[in-house]
Amino acid sequence: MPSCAQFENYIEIKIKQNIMSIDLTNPLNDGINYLKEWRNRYSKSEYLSKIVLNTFYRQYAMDYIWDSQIINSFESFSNTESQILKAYQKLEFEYSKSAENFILDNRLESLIKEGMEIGGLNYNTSLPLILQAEKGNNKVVEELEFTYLYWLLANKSILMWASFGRIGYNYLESVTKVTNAIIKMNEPFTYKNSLNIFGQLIVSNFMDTKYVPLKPLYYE
Amino acid sequence: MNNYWNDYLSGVEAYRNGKYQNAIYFFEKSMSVIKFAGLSREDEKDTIETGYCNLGNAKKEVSDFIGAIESYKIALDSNPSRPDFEKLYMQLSECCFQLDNPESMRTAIKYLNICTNYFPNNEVAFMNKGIAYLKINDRNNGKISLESAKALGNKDAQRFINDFC
Repeated sequence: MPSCAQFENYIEIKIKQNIMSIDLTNPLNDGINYLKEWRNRYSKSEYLSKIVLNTFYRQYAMDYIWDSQIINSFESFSNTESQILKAYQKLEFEYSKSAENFILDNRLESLIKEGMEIGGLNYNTSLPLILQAEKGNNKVVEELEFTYLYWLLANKSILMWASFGRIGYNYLESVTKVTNAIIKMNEPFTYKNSLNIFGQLIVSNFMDTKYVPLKPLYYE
Repeated sequence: MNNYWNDYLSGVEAYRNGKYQNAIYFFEKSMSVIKFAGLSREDEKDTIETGYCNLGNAKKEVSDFIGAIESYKIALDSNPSRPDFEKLYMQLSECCFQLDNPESMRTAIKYLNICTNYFPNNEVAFMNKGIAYLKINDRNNGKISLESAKALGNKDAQRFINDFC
């Protein structure tokens, strides 16, 4: 998990410079460091499963706090904070608490193997990729790594979006704060559509410019 | 209005498809935010009762009997005389029998007593209550319950009376 202090630094800088959209460089670097750490720690097949498992770990932990913490940031918790960093820290804390619920008794594995869609992701669609990657297909390995990073950043964007709600901005104003884009919504914000919004408005462009694939996992 | 209803429906869908871990996940999540859903008091109460009933059923499916009992208790305590909850008392007592310890037997007896109070023609409730009393060596109350079950037409009750009382 990236520390709150890391986020504090760049959020603060960007706000001072009056640049409206957030910078995802630090979360991306943290994600890449996790991937490198897992590559060193686990066997190749364990590593591939680990990527997918952690992608779903975050999806479930975020989904669980969607109503109670994320949406409530614009309702019951709206305007309850004066500082964006404090708001962000509280949301990260709630995310961490939620994540703990999925560690015990292999609960996460039991959940994902049932193949329910969670925030637009389904384990059943990841499984063939793991199998292909295990056969030494570096392109598929990279696809799994990219997917992990993409969803990590989309989820971080959502936490930042909710942080703006807690300091008094409404749903759409907060989208603009995070992405520098003005949007209209004809339907309620759900976890799935919010991931799509932030994925399209900020994460995709950011990954296009900043993402550099890791060296191939399998050598010729 | 939050997404409690979508989560509730996802729980129902997961349960129907035998995806019990996800059913538990979605029902728990739905119940955790029901207070923020902006429902009328009556609708909130009804949703909590059916939600915890479903949650209990899902937990029972994965053999989480302690969790199932706790969920059933919430539903039953909220509305003990609800007609469609008559069978919920049976499900709670089944979980208690699965655990098969003195504490769970006392829980079964407590809720079966409530059940027979509201549904006095439920022979299975009397039968189960009789067995639960016998399990904690309370033969007098066991016999009384088994005789009630017999009076209501239960064919096994007399054998239990003969063998254990």
